[in-house]
Amino acid sequence: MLEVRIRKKCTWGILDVRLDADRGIYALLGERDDAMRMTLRCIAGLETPDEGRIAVDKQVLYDSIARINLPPVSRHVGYLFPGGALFPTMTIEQNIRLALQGGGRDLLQYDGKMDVRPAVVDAKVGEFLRKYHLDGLGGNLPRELSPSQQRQAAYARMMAGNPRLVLLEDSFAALEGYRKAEVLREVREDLLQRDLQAVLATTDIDEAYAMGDVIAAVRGGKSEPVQKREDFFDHPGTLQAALLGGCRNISEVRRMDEFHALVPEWGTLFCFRGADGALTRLPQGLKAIGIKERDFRTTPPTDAEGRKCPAYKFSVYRPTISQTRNDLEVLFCPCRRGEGRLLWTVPKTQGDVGTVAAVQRLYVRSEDVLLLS
Amino acid sequence: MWNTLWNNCIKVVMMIRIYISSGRLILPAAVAVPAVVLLIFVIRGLHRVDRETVNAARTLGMTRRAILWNVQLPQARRQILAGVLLAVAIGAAEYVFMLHYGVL
Repeated sequence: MLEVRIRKKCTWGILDVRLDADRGIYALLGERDDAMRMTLRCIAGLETPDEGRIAVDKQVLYDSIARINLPPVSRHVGYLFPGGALFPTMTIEQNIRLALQGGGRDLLQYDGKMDVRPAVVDAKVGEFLRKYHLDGLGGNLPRELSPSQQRQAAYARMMAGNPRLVLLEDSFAALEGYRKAEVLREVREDLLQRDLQAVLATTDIDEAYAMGDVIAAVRGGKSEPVQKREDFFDHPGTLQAALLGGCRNISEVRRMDEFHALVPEWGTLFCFRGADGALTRLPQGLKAIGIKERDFRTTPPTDAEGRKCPAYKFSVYRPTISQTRNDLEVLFCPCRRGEGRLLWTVPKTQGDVGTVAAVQRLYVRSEDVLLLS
Repeated sequence: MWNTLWNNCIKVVMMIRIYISSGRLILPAAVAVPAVVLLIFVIRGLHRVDRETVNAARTLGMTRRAILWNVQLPQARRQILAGVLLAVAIGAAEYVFMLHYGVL
């Protein structure tokens, strides 16, 4: 159980973050990492917010009203720094040993009693080295290890500190493709197995998707409401969430009346009908409309029983086709004149350049249209 | 910030040196000046330690003393060593200076 409500004035603006999470991994997704980094540092106690409250598992770490501000030493919050921040003058083994003798003293219990004999500590250190694939590297200095091994060692050291909450600051950004997916899966499994709560700050969508149970977008120092992972990507509620979630077709709307919204760029008038066919009111504060690039269909969409379902029709003018590894990307104009462009992505398994270029009409189900505030 | 502080420190050292060698406090001159120099180098070395490692140590639950001995001082070792060498050199020079002018 994590509860964070903090405000802090920083050099780049005002940080205003609210997080509430039960167990699980919490991903903060933003475009700049200043705000997210500052949030994590406030939780860890390395920075002090101006006002607010931070509590983990019902224990208050910081409360500006009650004047509580625990030092980082007694917070038991693990922090994985981007570069690892291993102690450079010590071997990996000594690094882990120091963590065990610091915050990880509870791990050294034997028969309910503290046991800090060197042999016991050594055994425990060895256990950590084995668990995190650092066999035989214990005697090396951090600079003798590869960056990914350093990260692994930093992770092992953090776990040796026996944290009850783990903060991961953009730690996997340097990893590449296949290796990254594997590391993320391992870290996630390890966290779930230890039943630890974690907060991950990242600028990468795939990372947030792979790790986070719940995701919150951070825009300009302000956090947006938490959404479940699937909801965040399938039904983003806010403009920022849609942008961060990789939605490429987003355009501002002009509200015509309570029911109709015009998108001048695409020359389309949107209105929405409920299940009974009556027009539904547009949500308050509607700013933009988004269409995910994979939601276009070449045939009029039908529901399970073969009836036509409400959809918008787009004409395809001046398409330009480019290819990525798995997809064809078609950039087309929905109007005969005008600068508005839409992007349509087709998996290569579903069409080739010839058939895609010949498409004249595209359809989008009205429930797939994202209303963004 | 460090440059101004550094310059001030040097001035302080010079003043101590002049005051001491003016003949009132003769014996400690070979001790006091090097001691100040050494202190400056130690503080300077501690300030140059990578802040992230100290932060990491704090989140790991290490005590202040443990951080000082295990994280900060080992990383500042070169600076401290340089300070010791300089202090010894200055001390020796001071000693010779005093011998030369016959105050001992």
